[in-house]
Amino acid sequence: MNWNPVFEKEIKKNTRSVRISWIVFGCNLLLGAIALICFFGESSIRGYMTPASYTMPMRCYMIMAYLLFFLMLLTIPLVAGASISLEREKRTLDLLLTTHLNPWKIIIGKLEASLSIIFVIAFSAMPALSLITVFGGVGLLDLLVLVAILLVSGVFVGSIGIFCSVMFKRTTVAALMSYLLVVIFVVGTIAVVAMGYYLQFLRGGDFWAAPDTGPWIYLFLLNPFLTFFGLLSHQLGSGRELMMLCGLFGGYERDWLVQHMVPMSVAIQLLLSVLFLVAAGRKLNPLKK
Amino acid sequence: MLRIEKLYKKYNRKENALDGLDLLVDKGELYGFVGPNGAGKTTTLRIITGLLKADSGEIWLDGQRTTKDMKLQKSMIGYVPDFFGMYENLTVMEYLEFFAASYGIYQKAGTVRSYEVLELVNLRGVEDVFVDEMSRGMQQRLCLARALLNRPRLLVLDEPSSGLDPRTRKEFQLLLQQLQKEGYTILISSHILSELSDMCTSIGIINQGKMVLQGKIDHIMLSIDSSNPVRITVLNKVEQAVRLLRANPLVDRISVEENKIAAWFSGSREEEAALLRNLVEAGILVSAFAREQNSLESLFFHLTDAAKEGENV
Repeated sequence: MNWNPVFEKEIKKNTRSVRISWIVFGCNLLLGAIALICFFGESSIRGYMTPASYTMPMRCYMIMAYLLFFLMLLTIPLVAGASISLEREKRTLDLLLTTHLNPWKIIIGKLEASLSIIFVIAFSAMPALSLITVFGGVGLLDLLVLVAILLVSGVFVGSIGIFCSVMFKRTTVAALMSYLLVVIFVVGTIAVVAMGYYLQFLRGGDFWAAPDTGPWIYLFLLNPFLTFFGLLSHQLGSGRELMMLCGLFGGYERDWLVQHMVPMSVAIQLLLSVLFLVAAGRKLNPLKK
Repeated sequence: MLRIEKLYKKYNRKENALDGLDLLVDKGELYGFVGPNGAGKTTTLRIITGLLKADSGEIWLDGQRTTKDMKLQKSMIGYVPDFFGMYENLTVMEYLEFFAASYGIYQKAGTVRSYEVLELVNLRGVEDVFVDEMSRGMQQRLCLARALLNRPRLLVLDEPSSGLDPRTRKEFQLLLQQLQKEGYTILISSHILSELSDMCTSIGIINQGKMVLQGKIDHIMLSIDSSNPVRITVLNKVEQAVRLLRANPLVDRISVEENKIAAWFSGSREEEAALLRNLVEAGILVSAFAREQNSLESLFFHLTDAAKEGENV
């Protein structure tokens, strides 16, 4: 099988990049430190002979998982946002476009390369994350699902980065715009729903009836953080935490989309990723202008 | 090899960057493409290499109409832009293997082809050197090697000598001539006209998006030279020489400055030789006899200035 040449080239460059090595090392150091503090903290507080408590290791797993997610949110927009614009700045993009590579292949190669960093971080973090399995409650399958959801979110965030990288010529602008779009999806969607709720609240109406934000709640489907939150609530909590969060903004107990928010948001985010990539591919094609 | 007919391109609805450009490059030629800044050279080259879409016009490559088949057009072209386009953290071999794979030449075939092109540009022995650590001359040769990877029928070079010192430029020029001898067809745009006149077999001069002159460089120079005077220096019998020249029906006019005579002679090369023989047989000591020659530079200025004057009128 032949790899995508752009992906292969980026991997070669990244393996020699001191920056990437430091990022992976730093992430693992941080995760390892959290795991050790939790592990030894637990045993030193309770002693080795007392029955193990699930609370501390679960909290430890949750911290590590969120840390991985936020590392992904911080790393991917920067790497993906710089991917095409850097080629343009170094003027190698024209060279790529005169070969047999079509814009779509270039974009996919760049996305794969951006994801490979989070893939390396997530898999190298497996030993630290696996400490949780000593206590039970979270199994290997849960860990793999966690990595899979991280990758889906990575694809979504990476597509946003690639889109910005194609749309904006300068790398710094492209990276900043990537971060801005990610913030809009992560924070903006919650802010809009909260705003809708507040407006409904101000409108008054029936004093005793709770305000309802209506279909605005579906904006949560675009939020990768809430998808991750929903997954962790399934793994560590009752699985109803996301429903409870939605319940703050209206009565959605019987709403099918809200009930299946995690899988639906995964599907919608993947669809949006495809749309971002298609738009980027069209923009990158010199003959479509 | 390359035929372009009535190529039009307009940027942002302003005036035409290309205004019905026609261009013809025969197989095995080293074709110099010259023109002032903003004449449309780079636009033409970008359309040929598939980096820009023309508004209208036709392109034929190796007898095949490629206007609508960009994949076919790209497969026949190797492109060397006016920049090197190097990647950090890649060795020469990795750089070439990457571009080989980008041309669809994967794995072992890519490695073999990379060695072949390094041989072609006399760059063997640097396979493991990082590309960003090479000298500019070597980077330029590597750039040429990259363009040769897909065995192009036409090599397109856009200002390849910019930023190179004279020695490296000369070496690069020799390399291009060597490639031409090996059968490659080369289209080169450059501002260094003396360099082009030294190595090119044909030239095309573009101005304001139109081809103002193109053809074999020898023919063009000869046709222009024939309107120039024959410069004669004699060491004795100046008046007799002038009389002899005036008697020749092919001489239109004469100007004399001491022992230097300029004769506007409309005859062929053979008739020029006969005129010289007449002078020598009359006992005149002729120390110099040659038709004044034009340089590509003077031709370039002549043509582009003429267009400018036409515009001002």
